Amino acid sequence: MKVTVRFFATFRELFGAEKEIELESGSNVQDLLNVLCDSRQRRQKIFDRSGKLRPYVKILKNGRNIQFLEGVRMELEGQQIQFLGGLHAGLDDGDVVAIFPPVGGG
Amino acid sequence: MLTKDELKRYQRQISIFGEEGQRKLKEAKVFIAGAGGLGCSIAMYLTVAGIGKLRIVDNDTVALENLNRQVLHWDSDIGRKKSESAKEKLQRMNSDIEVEVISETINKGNIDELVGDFDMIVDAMDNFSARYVLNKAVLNKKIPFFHGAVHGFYGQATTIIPGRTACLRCIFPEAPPPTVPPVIGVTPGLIGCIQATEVIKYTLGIGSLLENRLLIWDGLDGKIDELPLEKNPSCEDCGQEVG
Repeated sequence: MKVTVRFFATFRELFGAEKEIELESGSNVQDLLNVLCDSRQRRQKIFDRSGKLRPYVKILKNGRNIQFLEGVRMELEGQQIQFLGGLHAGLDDGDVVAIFPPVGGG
Repeated sequence: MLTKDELKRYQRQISIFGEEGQRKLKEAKVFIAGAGGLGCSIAMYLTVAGIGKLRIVDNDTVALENLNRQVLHWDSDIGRKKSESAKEKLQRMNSDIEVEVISETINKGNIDELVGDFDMIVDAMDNFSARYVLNKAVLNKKIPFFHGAVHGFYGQATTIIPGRTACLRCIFPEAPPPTVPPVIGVTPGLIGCIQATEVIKYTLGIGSLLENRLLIWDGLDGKIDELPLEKNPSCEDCGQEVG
């Protein structure tokens, strides 16, 4: 499947403005970021040293903040499991993902 | 009441929104937090539009490296308080309005008193920790907050209406690391004009505000994008007062 990624503000200097990324079906936002962060410099912009998403990096999937999205629902050993959104938010063919940092000057 | 001179001065905009609109601008009291790149642009256009009362707070002194973007401060102002330099120029642009300036550093201890009974706050700060102080103040006072920020050729703006839109903390829960960002003067010039446009629209009650919309300007590409915003139900600043 293919998703479109749009970067904004200073992220454009490192990632470009827009990219189409081919992913295996069933991929989530974390998988997408792993593909995008193909250099140390790029990874450092998005993730902190412990591999966590930097808290000021905002990611929207089709206009919704991934932080507020529900993740994948699965049945495991007869029980419904609801994964959180965030980096676990699932992606579908044709999704548009926006990634941006706040700018802070005045 | 508008004077004869005012009717003439604002003739070309009264033809948009009428004398009634102009009176609303005259009655408005707008607090501008900062007299730097954004603050100069915001203050100039609100001054010439006839906002009746401006209060500008900034504790900095004009330095040579400010002059590429802080257009109210000139060569001869180096070493002066930015607040004084701004007031002098603004009053020369329009003597019909009142410009008050305060040379203080905004912090959470003084913000409520500094803002007093002003109707709205315009963000012209250069760092997120000060912006969060403003965010709390607007949530307490339930007054609108016009956010703007710049970096190089990039800028962003949104309008925050407490109770109705995401607050600044919903949008950016944590500050990016503090830096001294590069800035070309045209960027705060443009973003400040967008903020001033929002102030005018809000005051007049016309048009659609940048509510829950983050406008992002890319000056290098010459493109404006808009990203939707939403409240964070568990926001540490406004999560309790979601209405």
